[in-house]
Amino acid sequence: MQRRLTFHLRTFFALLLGLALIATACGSDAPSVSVEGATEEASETTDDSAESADDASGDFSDFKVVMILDGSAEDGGWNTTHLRSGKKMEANFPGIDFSYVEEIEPGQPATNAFQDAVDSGADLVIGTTFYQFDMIDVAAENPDVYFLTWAGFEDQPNVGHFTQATEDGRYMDGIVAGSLTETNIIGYPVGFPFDEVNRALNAFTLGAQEVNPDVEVRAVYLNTWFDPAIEQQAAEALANAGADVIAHEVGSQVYATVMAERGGHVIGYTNDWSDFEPEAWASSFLIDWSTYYIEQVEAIIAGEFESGFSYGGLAEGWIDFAPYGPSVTDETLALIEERKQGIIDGTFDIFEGPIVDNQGNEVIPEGGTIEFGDRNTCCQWLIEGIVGEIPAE
Amino acid sequence: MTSAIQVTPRGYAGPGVRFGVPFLALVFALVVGAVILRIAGNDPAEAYRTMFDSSLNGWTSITRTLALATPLILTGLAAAVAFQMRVYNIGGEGQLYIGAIAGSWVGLLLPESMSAVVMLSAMIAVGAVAGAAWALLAAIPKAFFNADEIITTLMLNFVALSLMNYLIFGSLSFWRDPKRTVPGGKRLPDSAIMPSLSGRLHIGIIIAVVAAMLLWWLLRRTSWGFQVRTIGDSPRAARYSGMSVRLKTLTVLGMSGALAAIAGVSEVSGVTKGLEPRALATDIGFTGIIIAVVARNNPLGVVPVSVFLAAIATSGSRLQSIGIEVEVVYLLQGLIFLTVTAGEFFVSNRVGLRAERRAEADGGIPPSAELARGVS
Amino acid sequence: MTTEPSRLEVRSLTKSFYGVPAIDSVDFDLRGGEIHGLLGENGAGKSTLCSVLSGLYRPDTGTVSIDGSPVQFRSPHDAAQHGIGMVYQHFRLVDSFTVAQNIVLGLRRGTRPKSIRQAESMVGDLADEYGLHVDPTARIWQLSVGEQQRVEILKQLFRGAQILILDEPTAVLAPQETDRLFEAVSTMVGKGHSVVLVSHKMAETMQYTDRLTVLQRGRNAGTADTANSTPADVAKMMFGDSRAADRREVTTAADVGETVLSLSDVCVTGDSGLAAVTDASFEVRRGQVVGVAGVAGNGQRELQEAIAGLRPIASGSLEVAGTDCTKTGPKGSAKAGLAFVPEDRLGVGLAPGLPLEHNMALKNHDRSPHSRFGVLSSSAIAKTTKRLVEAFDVRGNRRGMRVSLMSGGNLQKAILARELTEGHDVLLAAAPTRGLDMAAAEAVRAHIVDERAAGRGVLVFSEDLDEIIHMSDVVLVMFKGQIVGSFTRESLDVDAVGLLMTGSDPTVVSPSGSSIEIDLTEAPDETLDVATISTAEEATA
Repeated sequence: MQRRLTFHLRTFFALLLGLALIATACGSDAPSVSVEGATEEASETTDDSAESADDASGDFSDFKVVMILDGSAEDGGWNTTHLRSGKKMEANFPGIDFSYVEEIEPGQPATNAFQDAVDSGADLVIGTTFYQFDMIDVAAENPDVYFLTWAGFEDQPNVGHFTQATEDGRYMDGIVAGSLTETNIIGYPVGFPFDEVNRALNAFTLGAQEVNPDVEVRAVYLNTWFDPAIEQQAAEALANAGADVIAHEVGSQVYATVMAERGGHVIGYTNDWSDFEPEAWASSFLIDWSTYYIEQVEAIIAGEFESGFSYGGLAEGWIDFAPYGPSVTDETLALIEERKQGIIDGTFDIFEGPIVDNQGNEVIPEGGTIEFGDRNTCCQWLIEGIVGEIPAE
Repeated sequence: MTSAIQVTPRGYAGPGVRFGVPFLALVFALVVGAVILRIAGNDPAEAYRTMFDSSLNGWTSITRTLALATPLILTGLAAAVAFQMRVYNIGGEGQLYIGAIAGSWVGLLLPESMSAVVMLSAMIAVGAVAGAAWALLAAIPKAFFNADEIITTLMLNFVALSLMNYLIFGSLSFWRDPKRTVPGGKRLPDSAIMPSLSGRLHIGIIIAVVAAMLLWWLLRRTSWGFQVRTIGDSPRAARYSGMSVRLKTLTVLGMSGALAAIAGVSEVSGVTKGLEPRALATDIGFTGIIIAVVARNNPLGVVPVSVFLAAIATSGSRLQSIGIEVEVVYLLQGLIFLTVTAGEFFVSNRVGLRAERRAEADGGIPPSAELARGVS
Repeated sequence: MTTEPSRLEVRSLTKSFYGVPAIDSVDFDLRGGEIHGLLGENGAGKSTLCSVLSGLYRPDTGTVSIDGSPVQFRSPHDAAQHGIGMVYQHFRLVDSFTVAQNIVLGLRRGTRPKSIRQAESMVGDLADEYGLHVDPTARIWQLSVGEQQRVEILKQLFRGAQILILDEPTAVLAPQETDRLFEAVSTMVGKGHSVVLVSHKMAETMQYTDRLTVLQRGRNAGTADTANSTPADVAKMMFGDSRAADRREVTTAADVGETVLSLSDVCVTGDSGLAAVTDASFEVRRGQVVGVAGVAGNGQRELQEAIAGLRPIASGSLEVAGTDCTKTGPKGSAKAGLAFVPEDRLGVGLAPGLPLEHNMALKNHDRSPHSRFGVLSSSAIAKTTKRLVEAFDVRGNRRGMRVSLMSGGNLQKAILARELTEGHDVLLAAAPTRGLDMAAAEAVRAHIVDERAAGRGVLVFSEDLDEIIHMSDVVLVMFKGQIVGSFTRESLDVDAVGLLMTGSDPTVVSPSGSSIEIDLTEAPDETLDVATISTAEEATA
């Protein structure tokens, strides 16, 4: 093994040598190539880019935005939504340099990707999943570059965090589900139990109860992000238990298939899957981050960037809706329009008290509510009408 | 059947072979890669320059490669020590999670004011013990009932992943930060974070390299290692010479689990700084298996192989940012790693055509079996 | 029977491996409608001859003719086309397939039945015709060994085999199944098929065959009508009788001393869970070589392993140099003074992938000077290796080279070097010269004989009867897990040993002119008789 060891070390050094030779060759002969400005020189111009963009009107070619996606850009869900929002932002600023890297796992690969984005001369780096701890050091080391990260919380002058008010969309989905169900049983399979998920589930149930007070929402925590086999089982179990509408929150299209077979309805999650099993399709809310992205780019160029947390729903233009299915009645659509308008102009409050949880405790008293800005820390309870418990200690 | 490809192990490989083959393999990989890049519409020279820049060109790049290599070295060692004895521990991934859970538990439990040396030592020790205990869940059935460790260690990965997910997503556990809207682990105090050597490179790399040297010494220079190597080569010869295969199964799998768990402690303390399931579950344990196989289970070989793999992997986002499709990036990385490591095969084996006569004799029963029976 | 023309004619057939002839100028004739026994020791060339006949090997020289016209087989398929079918000792069936599926498996288009239903009914008819009853729809794993063998035979008959070669067909069968097999075989013969029965069991060969041919060391030692032969004649053909007697004088007798290895009523269970060794009792004394003769597979390996502590002793007791080693395992036996040269040099005696230095320290690596406090001393191990290599003339090693690249003779010398320099009182050597060239085999024998001269005990197992007779002071014969015979140098009768090895009873067909007394003890297994030559015990006393 002594022999093998020396071999390995030598191989390694031979490799280093080989790589060095090639790099030298590239360095000397290669014509200077610039694709999307990813060259060393670009990073040197970073410092004054913000100022130079300041007085530019209509040309944003000095401004570079890099988006970091945790999955495939073509996942049809989360990352596609972010990229779509990014492209809308790109269209809003003529000449802006917008690019993205995909399939970047949290941890060291993400940290490296943030660092690479900075090194390539980015003025703004957008992290589309929970990259908080992967980017925070890079942000601290590069105070002239701005960072946006989804669901972050640690403040730094050049970092913004954002989360969408899912409840605004989920309430409308609840109205659809409540009006469609004939058995008064709605299935709601979810991934892992945490605040945002519970909040959306509560809003959904409140929406359903508005049109159908007898409705029962059966929540099932699957403890997975994406697992078609388990999801299939859950869908069938819910259907067998009498659910004729399923609103899902994790990944796959099995719910639509199962509901189509049984003549029921499916409500998606941030996806427009209206073309897939169109008869079963009922509705889905969508997320659009482009207004937020555009605001932030404008603020950076104007030198008015404010760090901190942004929370947005219908009123802020962050929540949108996929086309409704054929079974949704005009009456229901009219009610949805009314509620949407009410939320936008502040006359309707989803979480208006009294609200009682499914353990019998009053969680929001008569006349109380949860302020919009505090909603992202709700909820550790499920309201009355939901069958299921938050798995906890 | 007049001729066939024949592979015979080389007793020795001369320096020409040892240097020449890997170099030619690399050149081959780069040429094939260049063709692929051209077809995909990219500039090969720029791509290779980017790969070199992001992994090995300059101290910053090197530190980042070494940082990525740190946990890979440890999980590579975990696999290597087990494979050395032909015990196939596929559970490095789960053992890493257990190490991260146990290590962060100690980091969160002990008073923040504690000195970093004591704190980190305690985290590593408890993490290693927990990883070893976790591996023993597979080692005990293996040693006493000959239960297939490939199955048991593989299944325990899922159990460990579920446990880690439960602690953060499924419950308000000791590890979970209750203030976070998206579930995540509590931050470790400063004393529980591995000090940085330079940039992202933390002292985990020193632990990993020392572990490699220590493991090499244990395997090569102690009677324990002597027995492990004997069992790995021939369990019957080991039994014949009076060695306890059972005891070695337990110690080897325990040690393997401990090493993978230290990788978990290193990641949770040096990188994620809290129990973050998504950042920890990135197949570091599984990659260790590939590294061990390529390094032929030699602990000192694990280090350069891990660094080589990390150097290739670390260029991913930069290659994308110069306009190369993510699929082409994976293809290129895989091609280089596989071709260069496959070159090893040609170093240790001589490949050529064999003569007709031998081919005939080999028709069914190997002639050596006939010979072994005497003049048959 | 006497004037029938030859169905299959083999003339001067030679096949060598690496220059060593496995069969050498063999002539062989098979007549139509006969059962022809093919006998010989392990390694006599039986399986090579069969492999040539079934198209697996191509001969170096010589001819094979079927019904008078010469043929050349390029593959087993070719041989099958000419009507030759081979039934191997180890079945080649797919466990999860049905009987009919297995039988049609591999048939080429045109010869294959149209449907599995058709195949099932064809197989059923064929089975009835030959009395080889087996359900065509049953899956292989559901069948007994005997039934699986019937499937193998049916497979060959289905392919139109006129000449069937059965390779030790009874080795795996229970007695009742054996009877059924031979009923079917006689049906086949009645229908004009010819059968070659490969065996080394004397009794069944004498009982069932029409003629028999004996191979000895790759040569045809004779063909005879079974009815005109006695087991003694056949044994003589198989084992020869003159050479061993000549060479016996070469060795020198040493003073026989105290007992260093003693077994009493040792029973050992084999891998299959059945008894492999039954009630083995014997002793080895200082200055004495005890040789165990027997055809491979009669419990020798299990007995060796039991003595070395590698296999548990089910009942009975074992003492090595006065220490009870019944339950002490490999370390206990070694510590008590047993040196063991196992049958498998690479894989048991030596770790094949590791260097010679490692292997030389295999047993004492954890003791001073090779290690202190668990830390190895490479220099001490290297020094030991150098000493052993010089003392035993082990050649062909290069530093760091895996031992599997060394030659068999050097490997055996290396094992002897390691085993014979530790303090030991008794050497257990299994097949010590198997596969070695003449010079290496002589060197190994010389070391064993030196052990006796040095006043230690030696127990040697070998399938080479000459070797046993040449070296041993006491010869034991093993058959079906029992010690069926014991001879001293004075009482030794080669013919009797040969008969005992093949399970025959030497008292029934008494060797001519032998003056030894033979006691018949009652046979625990009704199929064989156990003879003990009473002089053995007295001579060693």
